[in-house]
Amino acid sequence: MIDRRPEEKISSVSPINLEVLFNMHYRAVYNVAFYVSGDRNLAEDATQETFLKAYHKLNQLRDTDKVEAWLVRISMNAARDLLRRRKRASGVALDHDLPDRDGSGDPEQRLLSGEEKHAVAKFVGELAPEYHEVVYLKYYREMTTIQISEYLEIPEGTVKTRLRKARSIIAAKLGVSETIKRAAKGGRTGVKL
Amino acid sequence: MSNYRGEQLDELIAQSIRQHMDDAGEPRADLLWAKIQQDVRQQESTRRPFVTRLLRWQVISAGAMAACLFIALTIYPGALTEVGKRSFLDGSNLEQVEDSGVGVASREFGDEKAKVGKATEEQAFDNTVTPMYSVEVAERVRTDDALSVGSATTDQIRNGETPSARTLSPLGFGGSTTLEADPDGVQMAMVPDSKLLYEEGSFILHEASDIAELRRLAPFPVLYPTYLPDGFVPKRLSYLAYDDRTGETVITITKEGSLGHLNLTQRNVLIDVPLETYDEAPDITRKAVQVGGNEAKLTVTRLKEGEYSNINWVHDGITYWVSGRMSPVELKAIADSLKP
Repeated sequence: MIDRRPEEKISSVSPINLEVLFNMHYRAVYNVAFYVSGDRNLAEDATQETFLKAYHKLNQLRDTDKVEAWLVRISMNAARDLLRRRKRASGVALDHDLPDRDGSGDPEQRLLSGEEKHAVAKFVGELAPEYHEVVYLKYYREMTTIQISEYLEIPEGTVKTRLRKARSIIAAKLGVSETIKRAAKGGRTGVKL
Repeated sequence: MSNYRGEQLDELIAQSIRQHMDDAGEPRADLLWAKIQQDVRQQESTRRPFVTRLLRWQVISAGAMAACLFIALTIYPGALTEVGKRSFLDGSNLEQVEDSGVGVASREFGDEKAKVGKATEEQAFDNTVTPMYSVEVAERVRTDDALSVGSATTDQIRNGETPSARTLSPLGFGGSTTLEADPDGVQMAMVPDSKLLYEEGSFILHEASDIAELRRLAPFPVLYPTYLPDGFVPKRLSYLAYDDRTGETVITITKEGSLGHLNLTQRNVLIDVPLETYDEAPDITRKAVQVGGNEAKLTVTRLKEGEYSNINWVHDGITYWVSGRMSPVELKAIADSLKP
């Protein structure tokens, strides 16, 4: 329990809070920002922004178990905002083009190919935020659907639905990209480029 | 559509994300923390101008009211009070005196004195620093206590009486000015615009290669632990200079291949930051301990992954924080072993 006397409410304790928060969670915050942006500098900027926002909103926190989830959400949004602003400023799309590869062959054999993974990473990045978030927690943080549900404070059914939809979107894009690439290579698929 | 089966797709997504995240590298924690601290301070300092603006509007409003009062009295002095009727309608004792451009005037009539007066140089607060004055009418002119810090702190910082330690307040406005009212009249005083107690410049972050260099960089004695748990080695030593007299050193000590880490922060500035409710969380315990004869606060935050402990104390104007992902007993042993 808290051993707290009125005189212990000294101001010098408070700066520690942000420092504690930072030391405990900066990696998680940075990683999710990098996951969103794919850019180290931008991820660091988002991390900085996240802790600044956290500093001003610490008093809204009641449950310290939720701190990381809260920071991760702030960081994701911050990274998206920064990415959007950077795109707008540069006027150039930052997304990587799909790698050119031969569309033939069994997907199973191509499973570990870097190009395939590159394409999937791109499709993951294009997911809507609610899908993007659960995919990160499921596939990178390796959380179970129950853990994700507790982490995000949403029903487990919603987590499952979002994961299912995210998978179908990625699968659909993979299928379409294969078709397009085959067509680009002169196939007779009838797909207009 | 895709030919991928469920498990293949899961594996592909997982590998894609892991590959993507391989490029993330390690964030530059010290630099990030330094920037965050700097931003927090800058944001705290930019809040003040907002309050300053409020105060300025207050003063401008008061000045406008004074001007209206003056105009009303000039145009139709008898309209206001019986005293006004008796006094002003008798034009013989009406005397318009000087107007310095800041609404300064003085009137004298009969035996009664009412001051719509000019504040003296002594009454005006710190006129050498803040040349712009506004006019405020009040029986008692007093800046809001809530917006001011103690005059001792103000003087301390202004005069630089404590070279080894200064106090930076998050709401550092100029000291209060109190003018006693003339019970028979109205007093008009000039009050200066509020001045920030301190100005933020660009902080400079230095990285030291060893403790000896860090000690040369910092303008105060830097302590270093003579005891460290097995496997812990210094990873980064930095000095963040707030200015040429003040700053903070951060020594980061980590254990390779583990989450264990230790941060030792030493700062020759006392910073007041409002207490946050996060501090009141039930999984934080706090108690008083002794470190090197100083009363220190030991705070332990219990996490799912273990404990995060920190000890802080102040000695000779320097704030010490030893914090890390380790048990409070171990952290205390490290804190006890700190030597100059």
